Amino acid sequence: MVEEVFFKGAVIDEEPILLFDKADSSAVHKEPYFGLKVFGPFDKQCGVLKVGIITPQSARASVQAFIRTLEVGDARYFSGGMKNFFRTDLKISHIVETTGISLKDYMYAGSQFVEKTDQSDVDVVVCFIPRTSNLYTNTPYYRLKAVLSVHGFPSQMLTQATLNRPTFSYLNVASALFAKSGHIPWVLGGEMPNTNIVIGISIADRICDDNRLVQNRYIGYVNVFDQYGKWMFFEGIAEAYKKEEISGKMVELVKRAVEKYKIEKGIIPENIHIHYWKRFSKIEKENVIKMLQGLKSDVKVAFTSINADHPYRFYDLESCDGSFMRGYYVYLDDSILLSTTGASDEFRRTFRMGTPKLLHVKTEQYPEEFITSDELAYQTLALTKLNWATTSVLIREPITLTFSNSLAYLTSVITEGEWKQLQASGVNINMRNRPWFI
Amino acid sequence: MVKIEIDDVYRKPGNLFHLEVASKGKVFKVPLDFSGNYNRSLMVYDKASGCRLACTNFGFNWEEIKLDSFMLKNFIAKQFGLCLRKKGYLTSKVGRKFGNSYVAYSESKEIPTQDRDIYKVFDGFEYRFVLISGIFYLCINPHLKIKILASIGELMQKGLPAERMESLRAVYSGSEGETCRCNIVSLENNKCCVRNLDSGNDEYIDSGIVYLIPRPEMVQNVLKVLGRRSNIIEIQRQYSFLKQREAAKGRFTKTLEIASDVAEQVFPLKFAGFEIQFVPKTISVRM
Repeated sequence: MVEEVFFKGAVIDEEPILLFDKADSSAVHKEPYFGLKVFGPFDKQCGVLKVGIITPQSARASVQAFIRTLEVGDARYFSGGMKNFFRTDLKISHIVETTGISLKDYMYAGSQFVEKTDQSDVDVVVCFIPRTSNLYTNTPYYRLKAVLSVHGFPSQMLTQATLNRPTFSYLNVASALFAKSGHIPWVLGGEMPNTNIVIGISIADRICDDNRLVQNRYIGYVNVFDQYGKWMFFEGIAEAYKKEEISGKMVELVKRAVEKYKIEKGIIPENIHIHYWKRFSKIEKENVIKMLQGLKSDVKVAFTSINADHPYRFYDLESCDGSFMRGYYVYLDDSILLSTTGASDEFRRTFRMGTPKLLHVKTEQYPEEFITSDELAYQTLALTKLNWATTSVLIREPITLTFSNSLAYLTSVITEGEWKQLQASGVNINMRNRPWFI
Repeated sequence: MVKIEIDDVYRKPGNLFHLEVASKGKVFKVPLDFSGNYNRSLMVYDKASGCRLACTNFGFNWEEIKLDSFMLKNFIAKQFGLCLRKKGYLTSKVGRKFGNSYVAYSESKEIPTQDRDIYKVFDGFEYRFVLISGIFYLCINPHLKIKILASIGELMQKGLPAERMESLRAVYSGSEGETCRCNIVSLENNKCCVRNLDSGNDEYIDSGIVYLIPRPEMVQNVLKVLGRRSNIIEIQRQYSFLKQREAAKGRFTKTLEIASDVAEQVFPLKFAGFEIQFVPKTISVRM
């Protein structure tokens, strides 16, 4: 007689809601598109968003037309433009033309731009670049982004593909511009349970000493979010370090994140969540706990590893395409498998490609359990809805990981010197409170 | 063909299949100084104790130890891999961020392409043995295996410009046969300057032993530059069910086909007094 074997599962009852007004708690919606359209952004004080442009002469007219449509909108999907969706006007403040489309041309144009432009005159730089494979790192995309970032200018890249089919890109680009200019498009409509701070950590990203891919030197950084999932700031370690120093750097980063949180919020957080795409080592956990207990004796810490890099799949033969539905999760021994991009009754119109990969979420909590698996599933799902670079609902990863991934791409091409400059106080004041890497 | 039953009440199946341990044999600790030329297929390395274990004592007076589930999982995984190889499959390890898996593929399931001098594609599957609440599962997931056949040197002979390969990720066999990960720094004649990603050192090696990593975008880029016709991205999309409207259903059906094949060819898995049976029923999630 074969024993009956099954997995236990559960579902998140309510889709997390988003808030679109700092002063009005009723300005909520489940989807960024409709929320922005009806209520505008969370942060309504932007006024005028000043845009710089770097483009070849041949694309200048197209880029300007694109910016113009961002401002006034298009009839189909972005009616009313940024004025309607973000309560802000766009102003082109500075244009630099490249003499060609080679890397050298872009590097020259970038250096001209940063030399002649004051940081206060431009909020974001829109750059038209040729589309290049992300297999190569010595390309206008990466190098121009690096040059502008280290001088305190967040950038938004555009390619011909976007200009050819812009309809569904307007809102995403607008949202990214708004966020990169230092404003908040939306946050969660309610606090995440038993959460004061979420720290998305990355401590082992490779960095290069020249323009080539790399090396045995690493850098680390954190993105810090509050209980509403609002991205607060970015903090990095300026000096690259060796592999054997990686563990020790985690303590330093978490400490700096908590201390900055205290400066901004006035209190030391009690329930601290650290998200990482890898497993935490024993020594990392012990050292972080020891350091945090030194700051606040009754602190609670959850070390949460989140990853979709596994072969486990679940299906729902009752759903429209057979995928395991969004918000459903499966309990394993000490972890859960959560579906964030599966079929959904609420977002039925959204087309999915392929089979959804479930998130494997595993947590270890100290000194005792203070967040249940169900609350953790909700927290993770809620954090998938806060990627300001897209208004799409079905995003697989929580922003704690998405932002780390975006940065990891960049750090593999930013040189050690550039990274150091980016962390220097002059530049950092302008960049640390802006998600320039999304 | 083994028929796999789908749970009709709870219609939320996964790709984990229950393995039942029908009988257990004995396990022995292999002495550290043992260097005899015996059947290594009956030995595994136990990370927890840091020594080798064998499911037979080969007639020696070795210490018998208490078998735990993790040890048994290691033995099952090893025997399963060996059995697949006997049936004509090739296997390779996949380094996942949360534990390792293996990919199995067979020459008989090669997907025909026009550029077999550069790469081959196989309709394979990924597998992993999992232990959850003391129960063994075999996780099976369809997986496309890409093998690069042309070395950097051969690609250059075929007309790929050296500068198109600079900074790309590659692998080569080290002096002791180990796989070394590297980035290509530069190419001159038959020599390739690579930067070893583990040591960070630059090394000059024969371009005939350096291979690009089998990333579809990278292969497609090479094919495009060489003016070849086949499109590996399209193959990947097709065999990853990306072109299907009901991709998940397609993947599930394929998973059942593979599981059925494996159940027939490999199970029951018998070795040194152990017998592991495949339970031909999907495991459902109960909400």
